[in-house]
Amino acid sequence: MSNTKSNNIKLGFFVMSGLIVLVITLYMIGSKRSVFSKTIEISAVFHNVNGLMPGHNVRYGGIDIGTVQKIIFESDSAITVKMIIEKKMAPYIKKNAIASIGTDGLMGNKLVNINSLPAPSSPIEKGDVLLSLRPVESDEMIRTLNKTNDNLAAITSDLKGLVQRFNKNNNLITLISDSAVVENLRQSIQSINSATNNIDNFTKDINNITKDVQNGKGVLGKLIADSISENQLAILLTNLQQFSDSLNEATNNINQFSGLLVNGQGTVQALLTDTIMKNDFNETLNQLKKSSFLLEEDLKALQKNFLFRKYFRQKEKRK
Amino acid sequence: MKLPKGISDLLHETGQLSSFVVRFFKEGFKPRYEWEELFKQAFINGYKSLPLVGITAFIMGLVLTVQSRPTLAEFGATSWLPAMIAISIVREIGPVITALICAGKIGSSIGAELGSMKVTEQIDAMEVSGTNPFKFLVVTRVLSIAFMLPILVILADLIAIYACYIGVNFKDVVSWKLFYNKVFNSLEYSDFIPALVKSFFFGLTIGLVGCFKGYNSQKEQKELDMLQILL
Repeated sequence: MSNTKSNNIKLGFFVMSGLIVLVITLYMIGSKRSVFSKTIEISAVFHNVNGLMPGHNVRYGGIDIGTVQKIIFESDSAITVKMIIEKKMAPYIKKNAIASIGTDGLMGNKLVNINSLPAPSSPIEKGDVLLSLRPVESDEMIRTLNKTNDNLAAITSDLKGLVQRFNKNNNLITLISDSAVVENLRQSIQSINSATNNIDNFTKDINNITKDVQNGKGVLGKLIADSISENQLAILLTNLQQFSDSLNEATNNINQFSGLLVNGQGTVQALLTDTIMKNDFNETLNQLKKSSFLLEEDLKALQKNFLFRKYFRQKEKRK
Repeated sequence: MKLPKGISDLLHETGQLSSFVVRFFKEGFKPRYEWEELFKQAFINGYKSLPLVGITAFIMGLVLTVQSRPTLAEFGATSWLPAMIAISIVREIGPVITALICAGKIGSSIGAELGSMKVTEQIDAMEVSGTNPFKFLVVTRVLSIAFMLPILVILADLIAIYACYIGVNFKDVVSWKLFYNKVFNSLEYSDFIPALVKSFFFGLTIGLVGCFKGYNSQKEQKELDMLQILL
């Protein structure tokens, strides 16, 4: 009898443990699917749900907050996805939030991502319809990839031709491997950099000057901005015009004079054109030079004469 | 038209089994219920099977984890290991392996026990003494297995998932909380409930076949020897 009782206790423990595990497991699975928490239903309309199914997660800010409840065909281009989300999360989701269909990881299950916008809006309520974002379709991605592949093939073909041309002719490689060229290039770049800085500074200066001129600062600014200066400038320009006219007249006179010199009948014209007279003139000058030399010698001799020696010493002292 | 012996034997046995199943449902729902015998059988078939089922489940969870990890590691998807093992254990491997273990252990023991009673004419004696042997022997055994197998499956799943946790921590470091979150995030009611319903029917089938074989055994010592060897 006691053996039967003991066996029954053991059996009871066994069954109870199994039932407890069953209940806990059902509760855990249910709580992960928001079965036992208070929920509200919201929805979003999509053009394509990309394989989304009831039971898939709804995620907000990276946290699972609910599940997809129902997927209903509204029309050929509109599919309504009804979602149940935890009521406690509702205050954090704004009415202007956008729902999009994504994937959990690279190969995971589909899910609905709810993303909030920075613009202010009131929290969602039961039955609200969220805006939706068109999901990225894999077919479209493959089509784009195909185009990219074609472009890549064309680019690699061009690159291949370019590399072959480089390989045939070593000039470019020599040029690149020459350290002197590199150094020159570096210096050139530095010079260009310096020149650019100078140009930049120059431009800034010009800019400043332009601003000053516009603001009426400086001579030019005053000239432009000041009406009195403008009149003075007009007077100055008139004077300048008169001066130019006088200079023109003087130039004409000089031209006439030089014309007379060249084409006239005077001594100067004879000296310029007649070679005999020119030679005579040169000879006269030579004789004058010789005479002056002799005269200088005579004068030196005279200085040493006892009659004049005293006079010249006194003159030296005075200096 | 004379059918070949093999086919006629097969059809005969199928007919016998069908009438046996019908009789089980007829007798099973009719009072008086043999509660005491039912609990006794539940203890023998359920509680006493737990060590064997538990050890098998532990090894199953551990080996499955350790063997699956290298393949998942090639894709950098070792974080999926808890979810993958949990789903495969709960959905299919748990119920099937537990049912196989129970078929081997309980089915054969029932067959041998009833067969032994049949050849020693204990069943006939029960009939003579006014006790319904079918209700007392067959219904209690079949129902006990049918109800105990889902509980064994639940406990086997739990043990296998814990073994998976140990297996995951052989090479990675995963906290129990993260592991349990990953497991329950991946499981759905649709994984768990059908597995339990399935295991109930597995138990029913094991019990019915075991009882049918034992209840209808002939007085051939060879068959009894075979059944006892399986024990």
